[in-house]
Amino acid sequence: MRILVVEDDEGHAQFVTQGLKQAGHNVDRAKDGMDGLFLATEEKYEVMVVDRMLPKLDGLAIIETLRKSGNKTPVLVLSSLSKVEERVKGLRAGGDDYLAKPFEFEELLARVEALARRTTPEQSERTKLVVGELEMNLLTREVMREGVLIELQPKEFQLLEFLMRREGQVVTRTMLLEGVWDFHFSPNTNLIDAQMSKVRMKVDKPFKKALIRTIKGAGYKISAKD
Amino acid sequence: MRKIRLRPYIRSFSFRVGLAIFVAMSALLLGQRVLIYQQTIDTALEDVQLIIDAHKEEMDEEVELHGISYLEKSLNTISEGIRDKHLYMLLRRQSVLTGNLVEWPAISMAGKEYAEVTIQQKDEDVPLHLLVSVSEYPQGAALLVGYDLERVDAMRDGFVDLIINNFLLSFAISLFISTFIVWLLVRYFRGFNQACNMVMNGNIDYRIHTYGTNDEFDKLANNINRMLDWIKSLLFAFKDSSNAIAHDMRTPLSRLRLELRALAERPLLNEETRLAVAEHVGKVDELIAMFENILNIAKAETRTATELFERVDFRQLVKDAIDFYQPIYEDKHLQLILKLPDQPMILRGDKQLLGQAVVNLIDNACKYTPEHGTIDVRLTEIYPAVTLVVADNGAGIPKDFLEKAKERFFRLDESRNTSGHGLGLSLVNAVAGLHQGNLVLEDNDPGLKATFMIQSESR
Repeated sequence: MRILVVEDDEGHAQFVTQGLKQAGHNVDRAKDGMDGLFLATEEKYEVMVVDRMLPKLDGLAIIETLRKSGNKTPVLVLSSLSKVEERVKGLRAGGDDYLAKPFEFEELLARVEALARRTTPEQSERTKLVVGELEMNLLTREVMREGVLIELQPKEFQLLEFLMRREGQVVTRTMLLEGVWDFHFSPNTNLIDAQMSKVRMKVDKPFKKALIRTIKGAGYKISAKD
Repeated sequence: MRKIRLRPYIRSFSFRVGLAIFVAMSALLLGQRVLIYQQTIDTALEDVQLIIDAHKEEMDEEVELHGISYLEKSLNTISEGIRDKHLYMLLRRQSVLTGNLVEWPAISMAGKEYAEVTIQQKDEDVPLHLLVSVSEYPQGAALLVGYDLERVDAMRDGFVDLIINNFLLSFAISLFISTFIVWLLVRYFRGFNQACNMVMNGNIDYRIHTYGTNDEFDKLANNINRMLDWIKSLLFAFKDSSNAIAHDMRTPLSRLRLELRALAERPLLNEETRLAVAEHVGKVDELIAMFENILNIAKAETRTATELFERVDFRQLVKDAIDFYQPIYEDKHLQLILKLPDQPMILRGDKQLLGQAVVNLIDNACKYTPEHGTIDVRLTEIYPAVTLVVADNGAGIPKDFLEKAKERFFRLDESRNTSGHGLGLSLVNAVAGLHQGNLVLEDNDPGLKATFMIQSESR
């Protein structure tokens, strides 16, 4: 996957580009806003990671310019500014996701990969989600595995739905907090694990094979493959 | 019957101005009228005196020219009703009385020229009230000349009417004047009050309307407006600098965190060191969280952070926060009493800040309630106030510290081994303020009762 990283801070830029390269991606890096905009318009990328505050041209200005010229490449906005307010500004400018500094690399990677998948056909029209033997009917809100009906609380259902929509992708705790609870602050994240373990008790425990896996240092992943 | 509460009216500036004007007007008008009244009566009395003097002189002349007997004769003709019917004369000569009065009144004229007397006439119902003067003649004879005071008495009787009259007149005038003044003042003060309220509620751009008259009120309004401009520029400077601080602090902290993480990944590190480094990463995270909280509190406290206000279902928000803590109630065997309304509760607010406030309240309750304790959460709406009460029966906060607990960095007991930086309740308080409400902490005996009140249409 070709990824453009626009980041002026050396430390962060190195950390992000190296990490992404290790994960098997092809990474270009721009040092300031002008270079970033130039690369973004000249080359073709699948995802861009853009810092909010850049020399020469502001991160949000890059995104706005790209969007006006019809460029729809998904953008992850990085920022060291206050979280919630900046997130709204970033999304309004045309950013697709937002990540506040500091962050775990796994968080960034999970979000970048999630953004890349978003360009594939929209999943929201689907009425049924399937992962291996696990089936979720989005209309009747019923969950079945191997023909057995699984009773889930509303929030447990939402957690599972969030995972199943991202089959095979790493979903971080923060992504779950934002996606399921719409909490864009960080309450006790251990509680996510506790909530998750309740889902696993119902979805995986009674069956032979575990579909939901904990990814150390990152989050969770649901997959039928081993 | 509806009880009318007078106190607020009596306390109002308008009432006091009206009362003051009324008292001043009454005193002024009354004083003036009493003076005029006194002068009028004096003039009337003087007129009577002149009449008496004129008659006395005439009689004295007659006595001098023709003797007392002649006077006696002419008085007999007077008594038959000629001349002025208000005029009374009586001659006393060796205990014989001649004239149109039945008796010689008991008066002492000692040193006085005139005296007022009241005489009961034989065939009259009402006694006569006269002003009299006496001329002494040789051999003990004396002539009394009197003139009735009917007109003067009528004037005197008019005094009560005059007082009432005066009262009504001054009341009407003062009502008119005070209404005008109060109207003038209220016009300005309403503007002042409104501007203060608007600004306090975060409408920093609101200014007092001026009338261009350049009078004292306009000058005051202009000064207040200039002060508001200044406050606004301070607020913006504050916002800019806190954004700059956020950026300048977060970047190095973030870099520090990256370096620590990289350090932990080094292959030659022993497990002990690795754990120590991981612990420091956690500390950096705490520092950043604390920092974020302080900025959030500061932002909410300026009450201008309303750009993110949107429609929020507060009931759902509370429900989600409660659900989120479900594992903790189970883990600590806490009993949760939850009373939520049946209908969604839509209000305008900052969803994230409200969410954080609610989470902080519930987190606090969970943290300080021992195992098998009870947490009571109630959400009610009495339009436009939305009230969330979170009560627990845990350790609580001593009464003396209940107010202090809302301040930044307040921690009841430094040695107590609970996480947090004493910012939780202070954020809740600031968020309530941003939504035109407040946070009240009370002793739940035992435990803490936190009442979070906000306005559903605060913007």
